[in-house]
Amino acid sequence: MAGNYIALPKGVSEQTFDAAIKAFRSVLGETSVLTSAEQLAPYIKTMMPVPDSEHAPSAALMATTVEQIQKIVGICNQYKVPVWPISTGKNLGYGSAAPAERGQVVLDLKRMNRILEVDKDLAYALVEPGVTYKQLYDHIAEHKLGLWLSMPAPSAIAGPVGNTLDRGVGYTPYGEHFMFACGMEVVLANGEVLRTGMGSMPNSNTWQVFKWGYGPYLDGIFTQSNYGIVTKFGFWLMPAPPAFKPFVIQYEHEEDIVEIVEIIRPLRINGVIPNAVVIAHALYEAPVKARRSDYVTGPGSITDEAVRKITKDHKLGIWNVYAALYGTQEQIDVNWKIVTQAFSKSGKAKILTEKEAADDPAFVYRAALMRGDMTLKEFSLYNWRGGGGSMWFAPVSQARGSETLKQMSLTKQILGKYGLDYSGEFIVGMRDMHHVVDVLYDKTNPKQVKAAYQCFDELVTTFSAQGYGIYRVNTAFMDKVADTYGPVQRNVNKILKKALDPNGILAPGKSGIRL
Amino acid sequence: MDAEFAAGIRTAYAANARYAGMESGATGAGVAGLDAPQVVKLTGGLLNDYEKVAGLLEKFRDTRWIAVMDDGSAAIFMELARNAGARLILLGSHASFGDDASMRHISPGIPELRHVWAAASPMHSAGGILASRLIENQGSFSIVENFLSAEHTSTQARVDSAAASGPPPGSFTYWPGFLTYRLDGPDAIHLHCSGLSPSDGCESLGWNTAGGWTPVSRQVPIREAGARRGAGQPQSAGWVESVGYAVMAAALGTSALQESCSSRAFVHRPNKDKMNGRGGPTGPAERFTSFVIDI
Repeated sequence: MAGNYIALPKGVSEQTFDAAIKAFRSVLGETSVLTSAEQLAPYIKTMMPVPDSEHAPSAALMATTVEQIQKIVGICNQYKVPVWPISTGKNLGYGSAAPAERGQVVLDLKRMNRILEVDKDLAYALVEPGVTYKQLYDHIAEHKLGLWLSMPAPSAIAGPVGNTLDRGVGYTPYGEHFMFACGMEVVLANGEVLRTGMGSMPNSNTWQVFKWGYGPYLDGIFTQSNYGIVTKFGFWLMPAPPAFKPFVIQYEHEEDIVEIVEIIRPLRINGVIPNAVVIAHALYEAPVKARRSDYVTGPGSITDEAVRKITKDHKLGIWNVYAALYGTQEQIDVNWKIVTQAFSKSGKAKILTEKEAADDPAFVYRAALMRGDMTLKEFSLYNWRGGGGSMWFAPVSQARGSETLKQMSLTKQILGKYGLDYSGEFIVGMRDMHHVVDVLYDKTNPKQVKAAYQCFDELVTTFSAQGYGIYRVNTAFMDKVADTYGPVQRNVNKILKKALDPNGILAPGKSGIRL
Repeated sequence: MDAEFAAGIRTAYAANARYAGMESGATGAGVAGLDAPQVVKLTGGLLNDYEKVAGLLEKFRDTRWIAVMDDGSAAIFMELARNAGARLILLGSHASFGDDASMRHISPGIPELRHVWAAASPMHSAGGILASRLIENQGSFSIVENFLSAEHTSTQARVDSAAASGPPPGSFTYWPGFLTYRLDGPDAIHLHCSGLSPSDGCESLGWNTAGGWTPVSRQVPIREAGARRGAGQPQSAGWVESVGYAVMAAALGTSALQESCSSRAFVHRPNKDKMNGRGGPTGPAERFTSFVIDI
C-alpha cells in the first residue's frame, strides 16, 4: 500500500507522484484523473495466473484530445512517471486493461471515440482509439455505406485500433488486420505528433489509401511496441459482397488436421477461399453448447473419449473448419464447386451449409464473425473451466498439415501434463497459421493457478526450442517471449526505445521493451 | 443459483437496511431511501443481451449495483462497467466442487468451497460475514480477500458508529471458530484458520508458507457466530444464498473491517469425526462471479 495511492510507479516517491497528479489534473481536470481504489479497480482484473496486485495502476487518465496527450507525456517526462496507454482496453487473455508493471499510470483513450471519416467509395475509415467496432458498425449501418468490418471475437466491445496495434485478427477476407491498416497519427514521447505514410505531407488526401509514403515504412514499429501513442488510425473496409456463403466442414479425428490443412492451403493462396479460415477443435466450440462438468469428474484434463462423446452429443467434429465464400452468386457457385470437390475426395469430410446448420449455435456465431456481425458468444469459453483464468497461447505455424498436427499434439501433451484441456484453433493465413489456444483454468484453485503458470512457461520454452515463435502474449510472459527471439532483436528494440523515448515513460515492459 | 443468491440479498437487506442510510455515494435502486432492491434478470443471458446491460448501466446512474453471473458473462460485464465509468466496490469469484466426491479425494488440500474477493477497501469486506455463515455447515472452505486500499474511507466512522454491535475502530476483530494470525512484515496480512495450522492454511490458499505467523486472537466458540455477524439469515441457507447475503451486507457497508489490512483469508477444514457424513456443498459443481459497483 502506498499512502494516498493504491500503488506507486517504480522509483517514484509519493511526493513526486503527488506533483505529477496535480499536473495531470491541471491538464485534464479533477474528474478525469482517477486515483481512488474504487475507480482503479476496474483496470486491475486480469485472467493471468499471477496476483492482480502485480498489475495495479497508480492512476488512470482520461484524455480526450491529442493536445492533452502531448501535455501528459511532457508531465511524464518531467516526473519520470510511466504511462500505459489503452484504447478500449479489451485485450482479454493478454492482460486486459491492466498495465504490464505495478504502479504504471493507465492512459485510457476510450473517450477519444470520434469516427473521423468513413469513405464509401474508397472503403476506408479513420478513427480515434476509443472507437469500438459496434460504434463503427452502427455508423456504417446508419449511413447505409455498404461496408463490412472485420473484427475479433470480442467484437462489439473491442475496437479496431487496440486490436490492430496488438496485431489481432478477424474472420473476414480482411482478417489479418494489420495488413489492412493504412496510416497512423502518433504522439511521440517528446510530444511531437507524427503522421505515418502519406500523412506527413501537408494537404495530402492519400493518407488512408497508400500505405508506404516515402522512405522507411514506420507503421510497424508502433504495433506491439511502446514507441508512441497512436491517436488516429486508418484502415481499409471490405465492400459488402452481393452474396455470402458460410459453411462448416467437420472431421472426426485429430489426425485429420493434416488433410484439412493440405486441402485448404492452395484454396487460400489461390484466393478461392478468401477469408481467414478457422479450424476449431471440438473443445473450442463445445462451451457454446455443453458444460464440461457433464462430461468430466475429478481433476485432470478431459479424456479423448469424453471429447468424442461431446462431438456426438452436440453434432461437432473433432475439427470444425469454418470458412465462407464472398462475391457474386456466380463467383460463389464456381468456387463452391472447387471447395466441395477438394474436400470430398477422401470421404472423411462432412460439409454443412447454412441450410443444414442454421440452428447450430456454434455455426451461427462463426457465420456472424465471418460477415463482420456482432456476437459475444465466444466468451462461453470462460465457462468451460470457470473460475476466471485464461491465457492465450499463440504460436505461429507453417500452413502445412504435418506442422499443425505436430503443434497440436505438443500443445495437448503439455496441457495434459498439467491437467488442462486443449481448447485450440488454427486461424489460417495464406502461408501461416495462427495457432491460438485458450489455456483455461480456475483462478480460485491455487493448484490450478500454479499449474497454469508452469504449463504456460513450459509451452513457451518447448515451442521456442523447436523454432515455433509466439506472435502475441500476455503481460506476465512478455519478457520471456521477447527472449525467445534472441538478444539482437531485443537490443535493437532497446536502441529504438532509447532514441524515441529516452526516459522510458511509454509502457515500459510492453513486448519486453524497456530501457 | 440466481434464486438462491437473490434470497440471500433480500434477507441481508431486511436484516441490515438500517445501515444503508449511512452510506455515501449509494443513492439509487435498492439503497436510496431504503427501498427494496430491484431485480433485473436477463433471460437471454449477458452474452446475448449485452446491449441491454450497457443500456441499463447508462440509465441507472447514481446507483449501487449488485450483479451475479457466470464467468463468461463476467468478463463482458467488467468491460461494460469500466466503459460506463463504474467504481468497482467488490468483485468475487466463487466455486465449489459440488457433488464431485473425486475432487475431494484427489485434491484433499483444496477446500470444497472457494471464494476470492477483490475489494476496493476494507470498508466493503464480505469475507468475515460469509465465513461466519459457512463454518456451521461443516464443509471445507476458503475465503480470500484482497484490498486495493488498506485505508478506510471517510464514511467508515459513520458506519462504525452505527454498527454498535461491532468492536471499536482500531481493535482487532475476532471471528468465532477461527484462530487469527498476522504475517510478520510490512504488509498487513491476516489469516483466520479453523481446523488447520497456519502453514496448512497457507498451502491450501497457495500462499507462501515461509513467513512467520503470529497469533493475535483467542478462539471463540462457533455458537457465538450468529450473534456476531449475519443475524437474520436462516441457519439452513445454502452456500450460494450465504454468498448473496454477504455480498449484500458488504454493499450496504455493514460488514466493514475494523482493522486495516491488505489481504486476509479464512480457511476452514472440518473435523472428520464431527462430519457424520455431511460433506459440505451438495448439487452440481458451481462457479460464478459477483460484483458490487457504483455507477
